[in-house]
Amino acid sequence: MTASLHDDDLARLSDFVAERMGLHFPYERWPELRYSLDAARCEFGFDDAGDCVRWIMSAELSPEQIDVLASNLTIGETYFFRQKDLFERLETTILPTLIAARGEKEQRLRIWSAACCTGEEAFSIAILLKRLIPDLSHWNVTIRASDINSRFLKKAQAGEYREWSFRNAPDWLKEGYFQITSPGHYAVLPEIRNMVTFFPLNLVDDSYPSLLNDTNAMDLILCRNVLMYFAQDQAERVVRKLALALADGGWLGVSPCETYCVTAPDLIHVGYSGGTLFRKSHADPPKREPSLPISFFESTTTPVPETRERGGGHPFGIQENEYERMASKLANQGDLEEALAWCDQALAASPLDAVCHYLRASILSEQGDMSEAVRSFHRSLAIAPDFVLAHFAMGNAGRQQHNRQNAHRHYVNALTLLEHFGPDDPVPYSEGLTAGRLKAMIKTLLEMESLS
Amino acid sequence: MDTENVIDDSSFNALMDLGGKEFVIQMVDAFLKYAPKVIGEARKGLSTGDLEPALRMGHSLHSSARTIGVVRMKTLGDRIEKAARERLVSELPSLVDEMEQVFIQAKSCLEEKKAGL
Repeated sequence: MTASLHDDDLARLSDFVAERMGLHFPYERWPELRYSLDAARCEFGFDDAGDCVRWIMSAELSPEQIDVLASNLTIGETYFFRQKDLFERLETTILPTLIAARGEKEQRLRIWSAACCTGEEAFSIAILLKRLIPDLSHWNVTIRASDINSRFLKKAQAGEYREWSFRNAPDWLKEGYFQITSPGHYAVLPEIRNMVTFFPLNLVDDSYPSLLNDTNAMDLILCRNVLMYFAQDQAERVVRKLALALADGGWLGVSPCETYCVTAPDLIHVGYSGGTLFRKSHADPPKREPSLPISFFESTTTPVPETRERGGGHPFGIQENEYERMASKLANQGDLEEALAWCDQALAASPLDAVCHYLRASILSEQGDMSEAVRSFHRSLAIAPDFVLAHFAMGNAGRQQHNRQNAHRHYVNALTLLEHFGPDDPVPYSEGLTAGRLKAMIKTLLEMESLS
Repeated sequence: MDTENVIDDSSFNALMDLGGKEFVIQMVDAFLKYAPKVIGEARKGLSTGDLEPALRMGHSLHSSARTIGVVRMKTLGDRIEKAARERLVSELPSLVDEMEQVFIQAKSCLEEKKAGL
């Protein structure tokens, strides 16, 4: 039912999805846009596509409605070990080098599949690591996998695939890492599935790198077959943010047709046959100045927020100070030990600083010390029971520890607290995340958990 | 003073396990400083017909008293928050009075507990 859809409507819709989702639909892709809109129209309950476009333009779409639109406009076509030359390069050179470097000291690896679609890429990486690291259980391996499309994420979380996802995959893959659930259906083994954490993220709108969504200090980011759908300037902005999310010396992989988007000056192209890998150049790490005077600390403490709705108004309150900002910066760069030292210094001066306990917890979580991380999150919540982000983080920790009851409880607490915010209000201490977006993310996570 | 019915030992001890002695002392001190301030603000608000400070006091003391283990203040905080939300204007002054009385009792108990750490 798209007869009433005029070129004017498509032009306006194209501008809208470019601005809100970064998706680029030039004139030659309008037939695809028309087709996708028709599917969205049905979900939004419109008989007429033109009416649907006019409603999209005039309404303040909720994050859930944006999600419906994104789900119909994005393409979910991928398979295991897609782009064979890249995976060969990862298997033979890049991952072994990272593993050798990290194996001597902290045994930690952080990988992000930034447009994970239905999960095949993230699971391919998990399987590679399983094959490359004999004592994997002693390592702290983080594989984060994000997508804007909540339907893809639910499928990824379920971890079940059909034959089509295995085209071009190596012979050993199905036999070694999947179990047949019904004829033609394969479920990834739990030990592999549990290595990957899926989460919703809009590469254009959402904040990253951030401790909040654990998108900082990555050793390897794969962001493939998505930049090509963005307008050039947006694709370049996304790549610059991804570069910030890389640890020094970390790697970014894009697809061969997307290399034109990689203009960030600190990303250096590392050539090989197929050539789609970039390495972040090294920078001098910041130095800690341990003798900052306490008066400096006190003078930069912001007041406790006045209103209950903003998570303050408790006797112990929420504060922020220079030590924390430094700790946060260092954590974003991957210098976790130094970041932790700054946190401890801040807490020695101000033991009831809920944000600092939260930050400390996030760093500990990244170091793989979940039990101490959870204690720090608890301290943060003991001090500031309405601290939305701490509830969200506790939900994530519960999810990571496969404690669904805890995860559910804290996600629901966060949703309840978010009821006091307008959809466009920023969530305190979240680096610009809006309440509406966080609500949508939590709802997606709850739905994903209910499926797994 | 017998602190048995005023402070819930299991909550207090859980806080001790979570943060240690210094953390608990700071929490108790902050609580003792904060509670009379917000009770006073609630009373002042009620005198001018403004229920918002009472709502805020009820909400915050409900959760902070629960954390420290002051059971009666937690319960009263909840009642005050609900009464303020439902605009039960006639009930609020006596509830705020009661909160103040319970706080005076809790203050002695908390100071005793603190000294015993």
